[in-house]
Parts: sequence; structure tokens; C-alpha cells
Amino acid sequence: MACGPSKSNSVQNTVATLCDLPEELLLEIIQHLDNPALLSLGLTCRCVHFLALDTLFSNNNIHSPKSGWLTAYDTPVETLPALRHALFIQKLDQLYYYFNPPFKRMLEEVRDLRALMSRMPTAGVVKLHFSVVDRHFGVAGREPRGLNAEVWKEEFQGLLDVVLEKGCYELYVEDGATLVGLFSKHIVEFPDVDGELYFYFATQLVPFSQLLELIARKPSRQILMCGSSHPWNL
Amino acid sequence: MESVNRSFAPGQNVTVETPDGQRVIHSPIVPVRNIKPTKVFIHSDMLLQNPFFEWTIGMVNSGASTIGTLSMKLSDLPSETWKVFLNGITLPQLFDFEITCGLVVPLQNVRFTDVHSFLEHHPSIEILYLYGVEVPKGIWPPPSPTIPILPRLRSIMAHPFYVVWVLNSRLLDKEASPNLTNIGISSECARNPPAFDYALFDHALECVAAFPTGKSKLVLRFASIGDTNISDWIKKHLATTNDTPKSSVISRLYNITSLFISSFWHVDYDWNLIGLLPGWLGMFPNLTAIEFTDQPQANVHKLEDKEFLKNVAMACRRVGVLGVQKRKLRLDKVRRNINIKMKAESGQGSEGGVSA
Repeated sequence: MACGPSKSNSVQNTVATLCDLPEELLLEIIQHLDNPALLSLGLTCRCVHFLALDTLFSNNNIHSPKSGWLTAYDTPVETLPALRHALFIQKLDQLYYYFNPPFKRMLEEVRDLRALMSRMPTAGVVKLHFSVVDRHFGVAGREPRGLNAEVWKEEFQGLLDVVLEKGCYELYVEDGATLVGLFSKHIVEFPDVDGELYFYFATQLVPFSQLLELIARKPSRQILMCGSSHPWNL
Repeated sequence: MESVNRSFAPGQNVTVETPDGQRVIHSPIVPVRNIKPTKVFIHSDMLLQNPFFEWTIGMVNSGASTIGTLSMKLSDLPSETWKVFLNGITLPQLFDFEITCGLVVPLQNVRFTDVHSFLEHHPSIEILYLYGVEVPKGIWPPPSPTIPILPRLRSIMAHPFYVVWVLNSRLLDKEASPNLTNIGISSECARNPPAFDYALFDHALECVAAFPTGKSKLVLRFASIGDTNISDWIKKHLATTNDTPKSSVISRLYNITSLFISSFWHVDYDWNLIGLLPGWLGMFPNLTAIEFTDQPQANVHKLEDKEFLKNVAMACRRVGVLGVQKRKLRLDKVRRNINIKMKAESGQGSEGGVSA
């Protein structure tokens, strides 16, 4: 980060840094950076942290997270890592977040949101949307079935637990139906106590009697139980 | 209601007062944690399926002491899922309860018996919104509950079947809710049959007319596909104006002072319907306010048409303001202008006569 020659012999060993530049000049440089560069720069040191991350947010129409109100729709992949590390975000009372595909990114977003909300003192209104994800996964063949239900449960449930424990008074979860269809295991046990045993079969809850009929039609079928690595041989 | 999934750790007992005054102790099965949500919107099938289903029931029960609003959105889950969910939760503070869905009612939905059971066990509900729940086929009129339900109800918006059912239930109660002053009747968009039978509106309106309240607000929502059914229904009422007085239920809605007419984005009011509306609105005996809400832009243009406004102003002389979406149109001014014009025309005529 050495910037130019030293002024005198007495300060010969002093190294000038980027932060020694006037703010106007720094801003001029920062405004030419793309999102990944802004995020990386924002994580280097405190003096450029505020300028770089603030620029990243304003460049991507992420308005006033500083005020505690965040709406993130169709935002770049750097959004949540930036929010997570932004020191100037001290509270987030209203969070409106639209998750993005593919699986890997969605999982990362859930983890980042959880980390972000964990460092917030409180949570107020939390609205989590999967409409973008549903539109993506709703197109047949776009993603192979491969979302691990247990991992997804742990991550998303963990996020919901954190926001609720932070005092969230308004929780809104919308869409996400396509995700269940992409779980890698299709039959999971669900015991009920009203006299009938219910099972999930290909995401549908069916009474045990109907499941038996189903099995009777294809007696050689194997049933995978969620949480069990061993199939039921019937 | 007593059958709840026992796989959760037992939580604190909750005492609920049933409609017949008995106090029933529920022991909801909840994970042990301190959460305080007041509004919960479960508009995601994902949360009502494995691996989240048990967590969702546990979360809702954990927030039982604070949850006042619960909204759920139907899509393609089987009725059994809703049965298990609704039977598995107890919310003693619930005052605003909503079951909704997208535009078209799903083929599988919440069964009437499960709605009945849930409402019976939640006497605290003040606001009820139902769209897309089961309307039992071949059952009319709706069975009268033996025990009055929803003693604190202030507002209802539902299919006529549920409006009739709830209002009849309220009439069973000797201290019938004086607070129920906001009654909404909604048609629904179904797959089979797609056409909505608007005669059901008449049955619900008969109950509204018989309901002992003072000034009330009535919401009529036209959500069905195709506007001919709506026009035919309005025409049928207009045709009674020369019959025996008050033969149309519309003319007997003395308790209705505000009328809200809402639609879905796809419901187009053609000019024929626009032409019928003023006369039909004029049949309401005590209207002082009319508002068209949730209208597609094409309807808004027609409802702001000057000729339409003139006709409504003359047909509904006690209505001062007509609301169209967010605009307030002064019908009293329209009437004043009509009177001035009429006077001027009659004045011109007499002057002409004098001068002649």
C-alpha cells in the first residue's frame, strides 16, 4: 500500500497507506470498484470499511440498512457477507429478505442471515420469501434432487430460532414449496396420535392405510425413511 | 383438539374457555424456549411438511401466550396436514385468524369439520378471514352449531356458506355479538365448477338482514371468473323493484350503512354491469357510504366515469362520498351541479316562455 515517495528523511521509514489519501480521492477510487472488490476492500481495514460497504449497498439499491430496515430483493451474492460484516449495522428491526437460487447460494444466505441476526440485539419484523427460489426450481430439470433435508432443516430452522429468540414479534415465511420436492429423500415417517399413522410420501401427508395400498400395488418397492440410512425392504 | 403430537416436550398448560362456558385445560406440546411472536404468517407449504412440520407446531404453541394473529396460506397440501396442524395448536390470545390461498381454490383444502373444531376452541377470535377452505358439497343450509361459536367476533370475510353458518351460530347466542358490524361475503374462484352460484349471496344476505346489529359495514367481493354471473345476479334484484315491496333482500338490509365492493384483478366490469350498478346500489335503504376497493385499473376508469357518478349520485341520495380505490369522489357536489344545471335549464325555459 505504499503511495509515493517519503516527504523527508525523518519520515523515511513511515509507510503511507491507502487511508492517507483524502476521502474524496478514496471515494473516487471506490466508486470504480465492482461488488466483489468492494466487499474485499471493506474487509481490509476500518478506514475504508464504511466507505466501501456503504457504496456496495447504495450501488445495489439496498437502502438504509443503517437505520435498521433492510429489504433485499434480487441483490448480488455479496450482499449478505457485506451486511454480516458491516460494523455500522447495529440493529435490524425490520428484515425483508428474498432468498436466491441455486441451493449452494440459498444455504449460504441462510447461514449468513443467521450470523447477521445473531449479532443483532433484537429482531422485530422478519419476512422471509422463497418466491424467487420457487420460480427457479419450479422449472423442471433445472436442479437435480439433491437438497439434503436434514441439512436444510438444521440451517433454516436455526435461522428461525435465532430471530424468534431475538424477540421477533412478526414472523412471515412465504413460499418454498418447490424445495420439499427437491429433497433427496422422499418418504419420511410422521406419527400422529388420532388413531391413524401418517406418512409423508413424495412430500404428501398420507394416512398409513393409504400408504399400505400404495405399497401393495408395488410390493418390491423400498422405502427410505428420513433420518435412516437403511431402506425398508417390503 | 386433544389429540396433539406427543413428540414434543410438554409445555405449560393453557386454560381455554369453550363456547358453553366450560374451562378446558390444554397441555400443548411445545419446545421449551422463550419466544414472543404476536403475528405469525405461515404462507409456506414447506413449514407444514417434514422436516419442519413438528417444529412449526412447536413454535406456534411456544408463542401461544403472545400470538394474536395467525395467517395461513393454502396451496397443495392434503387436508390431513391441515387437520393435524389445526388440531395440534391452541392459541388462547388469538384474535385475528386467516386462512387464505392464491386466486384459485386448491383441490385439497381445510375441511369444514377442522375449521369448525378450530373455531370452536378459539372463542377469542375477533377477526375471521376464510378464503379457499372446504365448502361441503350438497350441504345447504350449513348445519347450525349446537353451541354458539365466536362470541367476540367483530369482523368476518368468507364464502356465503361460512357467513350463514357463523351468523346463525351468533343468533343462537342470546347475547348475540353487538360487535359484529363488519360482514364480508366473498365468491371464490374454483376449478370445478368454475362458475360461482351468486344465489348463495342471497342466502347470506338474508342472514345479514336478520342480524340484530345497528350500523354495519357490508363487503361484497366478486372473485369469480367471468362477469356474467355478477350481472345476472344484479339484474335479478333489479327485476324485483316493480314486484311486491321489499321482495329483494337488498331492500331489507336496513342495518347496512356502508357498502364496500371489492374484486380480484381479473374481474372486469363491462359497461352493461356498470349501467346496472347505480339502480342496484339505490336499492340499499340506508347506505351513506360506498367504496369500490381492490379493483383492476380498467374498472377504476369505468367507475370514475361522469355518467356513472351522476347515476349513482341520483340513485343513492344519502351517500356523500363514493370511494374508488384511494380516490374520494364527492357525490354531494355532483348532485349540487345536477340541481344547478336543472334549475338553469328550467330557468332558461321559463325565461324563454316569458320572453315569448
